[in-house]
Amino acid sequence: MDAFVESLLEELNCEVVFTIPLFGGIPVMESVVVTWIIMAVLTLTSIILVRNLKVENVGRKQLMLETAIGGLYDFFEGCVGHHGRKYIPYLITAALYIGMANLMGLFGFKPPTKDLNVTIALALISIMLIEISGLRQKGFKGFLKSFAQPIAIMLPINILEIFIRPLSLCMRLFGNVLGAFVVMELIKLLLPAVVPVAFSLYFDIFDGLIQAYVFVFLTSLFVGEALED
Amino acid sequence: MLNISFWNIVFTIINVLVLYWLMKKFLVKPVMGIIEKREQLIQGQLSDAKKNQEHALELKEQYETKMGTAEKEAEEIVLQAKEQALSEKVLIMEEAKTESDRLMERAKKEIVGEQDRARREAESQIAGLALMAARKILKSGEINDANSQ
Repeated sequence: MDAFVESLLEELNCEVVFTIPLFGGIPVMESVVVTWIIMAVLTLTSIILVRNLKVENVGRKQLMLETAIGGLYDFFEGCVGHHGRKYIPYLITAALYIGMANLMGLFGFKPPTKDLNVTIALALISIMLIEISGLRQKGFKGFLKSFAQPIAIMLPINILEIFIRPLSLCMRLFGNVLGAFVVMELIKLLLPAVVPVAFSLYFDIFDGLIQAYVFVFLTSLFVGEALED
Repeated sequence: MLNISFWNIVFTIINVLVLYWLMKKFLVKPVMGIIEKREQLIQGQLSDAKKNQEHALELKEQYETKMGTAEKEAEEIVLQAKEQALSEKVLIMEEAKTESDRLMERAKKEIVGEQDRARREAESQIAGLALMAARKILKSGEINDANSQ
């Protein structure tokens, strides 16, 4: 049992892959390296898929691509509204990145979302996006006023929300990925054959995609809310 | 796992922003651009079709009015022609009648003239014959007289 705990902890730990010898050594963690891999895969796939797109006589490949990206675009447009169109590419990026990150476990990498720092970073970007979109939409005065809405007594709660929203986003994603991983390890320890496949379908694929969906869906809802008058 | 590392957060933020830029450039913009282009194309074709239909309807109306006037005109022309033909017919008939009358008159006159001439000729011949007969009678009377003497 101790060995299991140790291996589990080893799996959970995010190792420093190498150190950049600047400012007294900048550690580059495993999750960052896996993120680079994800970026390379996503970018190369996009470039390959986007080659020779046609307006007429589309092939099946283009049709699938258009359905996927157009579907995501329409979905986010429904959440953020017409004014939030310029934020849609980021939301699509976040969905693709988190989805890929959660599925990276299938290819033998440590999912970056299992590292708390990654989810913190994502949540920070999300809250920045939410607040900046509100600021740009309403102007500085309107933005400040929006904290006292719908009534002045909501002011402390609205201010708290700035911290609660990213915290809940970050912890939800991190906790789900971590929990799924630990549960999967336990199942593999108890029943090493056949059974883990069914659970892996749920915990590795379904849960991972659902968490990506929840993260970007909530972010887009908050952005839509910030854009509302 | 739970140790928060400042650099890790910074790296991830930079990574995500770079990925955002890459995805925007290589995935969202081209795909949405194509979709938009197609929508524009379809919209253009639809409006073109509408315009064409409107134009066709306009042309049809024009032709219909033209056809209507043409029909009326044709009717008028036929009517006019009929009237003209009728008047011409009357005219021709009249002319023919006067001509025939004239001819009849002339023929009658000629006949009368001929009769006159024939009568005169006959009269003159009769007169000649009578003269000759008288001469003959006279001659034979002379002969007889001479014989008897």
